[in-house]
Amino acid sequence: MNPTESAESIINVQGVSKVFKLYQRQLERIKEVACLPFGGKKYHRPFVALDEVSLSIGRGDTIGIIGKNGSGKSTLLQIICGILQPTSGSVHVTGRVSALLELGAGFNPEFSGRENVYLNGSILGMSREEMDNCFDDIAAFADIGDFIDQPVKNYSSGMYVRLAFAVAINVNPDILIVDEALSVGDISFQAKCFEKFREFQEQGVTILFVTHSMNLVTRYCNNAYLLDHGKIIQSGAAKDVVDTYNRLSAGTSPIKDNSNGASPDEMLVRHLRNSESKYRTNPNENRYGNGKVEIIEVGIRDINGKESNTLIHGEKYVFWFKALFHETIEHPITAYTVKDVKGFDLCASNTHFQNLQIGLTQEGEILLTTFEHRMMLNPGGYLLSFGCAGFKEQKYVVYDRRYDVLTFEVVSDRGSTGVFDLDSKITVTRS
Amino acid sequence: MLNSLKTLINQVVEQRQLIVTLSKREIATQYIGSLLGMVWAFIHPLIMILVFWFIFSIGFRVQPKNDVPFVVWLTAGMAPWFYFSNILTGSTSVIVANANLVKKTLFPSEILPIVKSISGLVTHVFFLLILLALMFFQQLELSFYYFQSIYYLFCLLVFVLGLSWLLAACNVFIRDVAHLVAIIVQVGFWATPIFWDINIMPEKVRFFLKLNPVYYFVQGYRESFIFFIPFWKHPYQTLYFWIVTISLFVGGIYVFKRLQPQFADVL
Repeated sequence: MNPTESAESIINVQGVSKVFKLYQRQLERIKEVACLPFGGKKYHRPFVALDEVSLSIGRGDTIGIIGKNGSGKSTLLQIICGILQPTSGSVHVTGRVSALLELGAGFNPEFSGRENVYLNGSILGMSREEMDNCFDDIAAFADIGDFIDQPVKNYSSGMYVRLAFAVAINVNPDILIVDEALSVGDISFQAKCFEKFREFQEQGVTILFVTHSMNLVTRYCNNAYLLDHGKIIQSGAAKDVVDTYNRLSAGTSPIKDNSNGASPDEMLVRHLRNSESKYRTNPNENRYGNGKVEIIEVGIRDINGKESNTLIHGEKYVFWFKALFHETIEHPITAYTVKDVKGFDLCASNTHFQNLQIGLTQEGEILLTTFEHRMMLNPGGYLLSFGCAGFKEQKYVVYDRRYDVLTFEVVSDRGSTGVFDLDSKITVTRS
Repeated sequence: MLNSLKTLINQVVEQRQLIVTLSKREIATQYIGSLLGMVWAFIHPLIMILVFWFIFSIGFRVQPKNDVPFVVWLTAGMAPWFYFSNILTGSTSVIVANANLVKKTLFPSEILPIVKSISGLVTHVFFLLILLALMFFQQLELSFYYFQSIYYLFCLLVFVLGLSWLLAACNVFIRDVAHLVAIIVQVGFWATPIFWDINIMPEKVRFFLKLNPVYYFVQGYRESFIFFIPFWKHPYQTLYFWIVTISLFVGGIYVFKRLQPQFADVL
């Protein structure tokens, strides 16, 4: 027995290789078969998609598979699902596999969402009665309203992924395999999916996913595999593997050239350090939510506790808001987002992402959330949003969200351009 | 070889719910979105019969067979042929047409020809209803021999399924098979005694025509609905048909099961 193979191993891949035969033309395939009895002239060019891949995945693991395009990630998933047969090696998978390899594979565009749910369920091996039982869960999770009875061809790609995902995760799989599909959904749906992932992790469901979002890997996976040219070049803790991946892809990505620098404004910086500034909330803020929580006060203060909306680049600031709870709420999530003036999301985080459990919050309580960080955004105008949301019966609910509630300006006495300052140390040597 | 037969039968039994769901879907796809819906299932065979009846009865003045009007005789032969050719052409390209399912989901592709057969049954039943209506209007006698058509329907299905598995699997690798089948079906329609009587041929030619397995059930339908001849009256032909059909059935499954693991590679 392989030392990595535990007794709980649910997916066991041993020395799997996959070689595709590439032919210039279909005729060559026939010629090759025809020549087989007479010594066998080879017409194909072999393409090794996977080369001696071995992995062992335990029950309840969440595994990320990362790698550049064409590194064999999807082929590996297809082999684990049993869709492709390995050229050599062995694959053992125990339990019901629910795979989402392509958006809406197996959906018939002419049929309604409802019919497609049943069809998809029966492809996954569910009986009609089982599907009757979980249909409501699926519809609730997809949350596409009356569209469920519309032909799928009228769906937006977001609705498509919602429905496909809802089916895949509500059929009680032992193993869930997801290939890149999630990226289509909007933020709130993605959040819901990851909430479900967490639930699965607790239930001991094994999750295997391919993604290009390293964020997701570090946040949700306990282990990761890095594939390159059909070989596993690293496996282990997600963070380490992601580091290797980033180093790997940095070697091939072009370096952007930014030459038009913003001029530093040393005078202004000096002035701000010595004066107090007042600010008001944005009159054009966009506010919505169900009102169960009210964001009553917002602000930005520096490390001395001084309120300000002109921030000096490189110094520490605290974004804060106070929320009044009008109802007792379990596990609320508080969040902030910074956008640029074009409305593009630059950075955001919330208590959920950081695994901060707020717990039960009583009616009448006032919650203060502070987000402390060093201001590394480059000079310019920015919009700050705050929100309080949560999950109620698996549904993502927004209690109060105040989009663009504050505006702030970043000023700098240092030259740097782009959105973000990586605090670059530059050395030039002459040899 | 017998093993692949056994696994296939097990899988089909296991997948029966999926087969039913897919067949319903297939039937619905044919008519969904069209204004007249299921009416088309009825119009299509009706027009076909009308055209042939017009050409042969009115145009060529073909005489009634054994006091049975030509149109009834014609319909009884056309019904099994069109069901057969429908399944055959549909099944040959069915794996390629469902490439998305085969490549992206764990899908038992062996059930697809069965799905084609079940969904094609709708048109076939309409064909038979037209036949019964015609016979009713001609006030032909009713007979228990009608039920013999179920035996011939079974013959048709076993024969066409074996052939379908074979051709569907080959078509994945060599797409030309579908074109070839389309031509063979065209030729087969004329080469099989469907709208002409086998007895107009010389004795020697007749022997070769009877080697065509399709002739067995086309003639069988006529004998069930018109001539009332039981199938055991042709022991040699029945034996011949079943030897051919069973070898084809087992062979078709064997080839299909051997090639199936590579479908996703090629599609």
